[in-house]
Amino acid sequence: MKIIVCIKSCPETAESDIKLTPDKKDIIREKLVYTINEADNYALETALVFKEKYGGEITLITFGDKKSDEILRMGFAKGADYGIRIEEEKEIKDPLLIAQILASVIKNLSFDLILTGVTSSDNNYGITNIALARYLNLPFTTLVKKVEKEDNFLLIERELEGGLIEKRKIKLPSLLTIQTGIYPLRYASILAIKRATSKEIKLIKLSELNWEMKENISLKEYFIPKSERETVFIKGSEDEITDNLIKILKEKGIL
Amino acid sequence: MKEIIVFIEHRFSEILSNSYDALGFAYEWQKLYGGEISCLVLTSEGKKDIFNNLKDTVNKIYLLKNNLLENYHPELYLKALKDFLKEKNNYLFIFGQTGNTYELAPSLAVELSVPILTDINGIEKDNNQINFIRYFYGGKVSGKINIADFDKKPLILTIQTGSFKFEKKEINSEIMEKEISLDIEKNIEILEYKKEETGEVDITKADIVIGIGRGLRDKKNLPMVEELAKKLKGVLAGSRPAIDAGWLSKDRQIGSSGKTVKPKLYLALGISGAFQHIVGMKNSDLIIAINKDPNAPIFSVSHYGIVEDLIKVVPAFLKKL
Ligand SMILES: Cc1cc2nc3c(=O)[nH]c(=O)nc-3n(C[C@H](O)[C@H](O)[C@H](O)COP(=O)(O)OP(=O)(O)OC[C@H]3O[C@@H](n4cnc5c(N)ncnc54)[C@H](O)[C@@H]3O)c2cc1C
Ligand SMILES: Nc1ncnc2c1ncn2[C@@H]1O[C@H](COP(=O)(O)O)[C@@H](O)[C@H]1O
Repeated sequence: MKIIVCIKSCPETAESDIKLTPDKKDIIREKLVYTINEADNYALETALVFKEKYGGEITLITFGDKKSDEILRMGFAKGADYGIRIEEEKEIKDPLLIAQILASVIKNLSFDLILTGVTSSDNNYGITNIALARYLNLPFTTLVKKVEKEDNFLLIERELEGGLIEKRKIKLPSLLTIQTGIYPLRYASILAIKRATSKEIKLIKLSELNWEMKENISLKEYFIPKSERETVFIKGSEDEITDNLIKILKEKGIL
Repeated sequence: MKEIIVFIEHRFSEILSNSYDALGFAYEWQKLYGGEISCLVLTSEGKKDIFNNLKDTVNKIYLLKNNLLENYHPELYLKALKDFLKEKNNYLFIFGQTGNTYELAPSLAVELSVPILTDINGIEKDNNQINFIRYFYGGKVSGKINIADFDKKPLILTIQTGSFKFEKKEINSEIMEKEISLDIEKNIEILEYKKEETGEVDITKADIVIGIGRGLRDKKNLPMVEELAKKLKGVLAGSRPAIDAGWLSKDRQIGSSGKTVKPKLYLALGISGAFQHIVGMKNSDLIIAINKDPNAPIFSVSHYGIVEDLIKVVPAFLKKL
């Protein structure tokens, strides 16, 4: 089976102190650590499991700047075969345009299956993947939590609201968006990581794609969201904090 | 002026609450820009009564019928929506964000070559522009987005769960009922739905819920929070990463793809507070969060906050219980 996995390098922000640039058009990125988008890591894992079961090859593709080479290399170390990076000369905010860029490269590759994450952890759109499927005229399924191959189709469980599961069958070739938690993630060995540093990454320039690109959406500015509640912060030494916590729980009749 | 069309999604003969979020947004839009609001229901003849609840809340109800539309099917739904919308030249098509609209909204946008934005939680008028507001970076940052020629061109939106209130209005609804044809080759077959099983503990019934998140770091820290749950006579639950990591079973997940809880106390330990988590716990009577990041979004819905390392605070707290 030939599998393409779309992966994106995203800054870790959940645990970092996030500040905006003076023009409010971006977050200050200097100190942030970049990793593979969480859901894309699970898409990659799914590809690796498929390769083990059915053989074949895995091609990783990303639209990103130089930093993104790192996630391609990590993918090689885990067992991916090829890596393509489309050079992101400037940040593009419109997911439909990102999907068109990915589609214009993928349409020249041969594949049976495309795997992506459900959403990116920076933009949180959940658009790029399904738009890509439509630009390539492929059937699609989102929120995949279980997948098995039978002949020329896949048997899928997808996760809806409140934990409801929908079972479906989808023909190959197709595109799936993988939800986190589908399989436990593997780690690459140090040796494999070392070996991966010499592997070639195919670099494509946006300008080589040669078609007119138009963005319909633009970011006016970011802002830090306001609190919905007047949160009372319990401060002090560990001792004071825990005493206070107990006092509050007693007042509220919980202890 | 744009026609405002709200997609009504239903499952097992009931309208999903997310569609009311979309209706809430439509009213908000109407306040700013006017325009008539319509609802669009895809259904079978047998299930068309679904729309009764919407009667007299909007100007128009489009009822597109075909027996293949009894339940959701991505390709059939997409075909029906595309055929319906391609006849129109300026509209705002609004979905409540659900698992299925992750499929429908982007694919429809591509089919119709229309811009799309997902998970909108606010709008504001800004001179000649309109700012569409949504979260980025898991809720740590909000962004104002502008759309080129938003007033002249169609647009597809999905609305973040719970971010707009629906209040019933009294308007005479015109009902447009139509049988449609759906002649396509299908690549997908929906087989069945399965409800996730609840284990020994039903977290939705507990008075005290202790929610753990990725901030717990490691399985080896589980005994500590288990002891806390025991001492507080509560149950352990978690955010999605806590379930993905295998720390807790799936029936203990809180949030949009898990359960909704409303306990007397929700204690959030190492949970950042992405909106997919918050929708599942924000109506708890008392919310206390422990998180080492003072800007974690969880604090914005918390009554009390403790900005500390939970690995230190929890054991200290346990000693005093
Ligand atoms: C379709 C879809 C459905 C989803 N459904 C759900 C759902 O049902 N439920 C859900 O929860 N999520 C859901 N998510 C995921 C959601 O978007 C977030 O990714 C998730 O909630 C984050 O979980 P977290 O807060 O545990 O982890 P993170 O966002 O990584 O946050 C970890 C937090 O722990 C804090 N921390 C770290 N170490 C410590 C320490 N020592 N002491 C104190 N604090 C510490 C950090 O500051 C950080 O705030 C869904 C996503 C999608 C796309
Ligand atoms: N720049 C990119 N390069 C490669 N894949 C991407 C890129 N942006 C998004 N994707 C894929 O599309 C999915 C959804 O992204 P988004 O629409 O931003 O939520 C991600 O999980 C990736 O699999």
